[in-house]
Amino acid sequence: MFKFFKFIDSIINKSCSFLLVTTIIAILVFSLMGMLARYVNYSPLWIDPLVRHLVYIVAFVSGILITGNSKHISIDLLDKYLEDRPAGQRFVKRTIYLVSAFSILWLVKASYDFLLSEMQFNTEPGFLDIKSSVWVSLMPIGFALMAYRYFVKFLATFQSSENKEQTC
Amino acid sequence: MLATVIIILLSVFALIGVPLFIILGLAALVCFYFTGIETSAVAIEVFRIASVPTLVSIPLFTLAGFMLAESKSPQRIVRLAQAACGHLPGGIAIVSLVVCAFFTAFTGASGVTIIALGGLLYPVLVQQNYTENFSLGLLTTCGSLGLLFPPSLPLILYGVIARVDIGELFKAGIVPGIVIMLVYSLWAVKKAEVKKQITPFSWSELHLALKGCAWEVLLPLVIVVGVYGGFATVTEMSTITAFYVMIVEFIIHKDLNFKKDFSRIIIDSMYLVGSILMILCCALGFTNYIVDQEIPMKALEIMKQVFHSKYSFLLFLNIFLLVIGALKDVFSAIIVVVPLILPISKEFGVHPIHMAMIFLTNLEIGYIAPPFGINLFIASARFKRPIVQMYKATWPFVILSVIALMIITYVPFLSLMFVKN
Repeated sequence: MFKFFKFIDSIINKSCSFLLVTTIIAILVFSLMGMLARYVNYSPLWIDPLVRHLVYIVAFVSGILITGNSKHISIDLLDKYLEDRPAGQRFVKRTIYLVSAFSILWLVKASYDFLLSEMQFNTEPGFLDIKSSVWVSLMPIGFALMAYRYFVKFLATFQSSENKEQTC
Repeated sequence: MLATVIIILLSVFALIGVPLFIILGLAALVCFYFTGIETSAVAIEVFRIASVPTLVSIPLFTLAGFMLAESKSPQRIVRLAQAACGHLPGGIAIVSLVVCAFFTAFTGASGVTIIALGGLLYPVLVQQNYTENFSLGLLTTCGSLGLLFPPSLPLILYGVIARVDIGELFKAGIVPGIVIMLVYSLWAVKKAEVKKQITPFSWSELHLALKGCAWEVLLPLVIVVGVYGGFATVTEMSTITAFYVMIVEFIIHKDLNFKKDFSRIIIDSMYLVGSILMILCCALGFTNYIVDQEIPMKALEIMKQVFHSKYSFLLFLNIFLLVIGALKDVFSAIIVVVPLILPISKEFGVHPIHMAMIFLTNLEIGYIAPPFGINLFIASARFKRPIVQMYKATWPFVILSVIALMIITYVPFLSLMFVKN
């Protein structure tokens, strides 16, 4: 079962890496296009909001990637002092992953509620005829994937301790 | 009672290592929930990042910085700086200061400077008879030097949060940045006088070194002239910088290979960007709550009773920010603390741009302040030295930084001389 979770996790990792590279290239290309267009006095109104929304995508996609690699900014004081105590370190890691997963689930709920209200009240299409609810929908999806990755990391702490016991 | 329990719980979570964006998101959710406001208000604030135009510059400047750090630019720039300043007393140490400031301005004091340049500059300093502790201390300090120079990420983030013109912040940072470098340089010269280390000057070496890194040397000029000359906005400049560095490193110098390096560098650099943006997303909800509850105004009332002059307030502010700098990273500190203290400092007559310089200088010191300064840990790992030795090596630089901080704090003219009212 854990292998299946891990497999899904690696698919999330690969897809996010690909999406991140693509989004950054798109930001570069559209920003340059916008600049050049302004210099020839032609300003398509959709470029600036598109680039801003691509940055919003970068925030979530890189957030999902960093979750898998545990590179989010944290104070991380205890970890340095628990280097010689693997049991204590494991307990702290489990607490971190569990607290993180549940807190993010609350964010998923909050962003899902926001999505519902956007779908109900903000029905006018925005730039490029895209409704704002399409962009908002990325938020619960992004947070849900982060919560999933924390959950897999939580399970992985049990897996690694079992492996160690078997090796002993 | 409930509020106290929640604050204690959140502090414990933060101290054991729960990511800061989660702490801030959770704090916002809890605050809204207990005041009877829909928690979707937090999500509305998160979505606000899609409407901030200047945020585009953060991923692009960071990408440019990481491309520079991954190429052979550090070697070329060190060679040029060595050829230009190596013959001066303390020249090599000054070279280290200049080169590190250049890289930190682009990579946002993310530790990349210490990792990319530490290994390059440390043997050069030791070879020139600088003591091991002086060299370690200098390079650890250099890891955050340059936060005040354009196009530093903390400056951009401060501009976004405080709603201050980022172009004006770029201008304002130059003189205080030079003041900090001057204070360190004087110390380096004093250390060099004792040892009498001087490398002979050679015009041909200077010419060759300049020829080698002419493209990189032009980059800060392109940014400064572009923004201050009114040719481009900060966001446009970030696009130009990213493309410029890409052309120089991938096509002209061929230090990097599109197939092998491009996507790897994008992903590496976006780790930093993603962690900043996630903190920003979640903190927007929390700061919205703080402002909504008029907490800065309540704090101001208390401050007015305690502090009767601008100068005593500034002294308190410095001590407060030094503690914050030692405990928090620069990005979350800006996002959370700026909305709290900016209205208070305005009431005490501190200009928002002067405030930015004081704020960032304090956080720059926080990076090297024992026991938790992040640069100390990065340098300890990079140079394979015990953390206690890093404390010993860095303390003279902490004192020097505090001297520079006092100058920047009590001489506002240095920060405001190029700023339009």
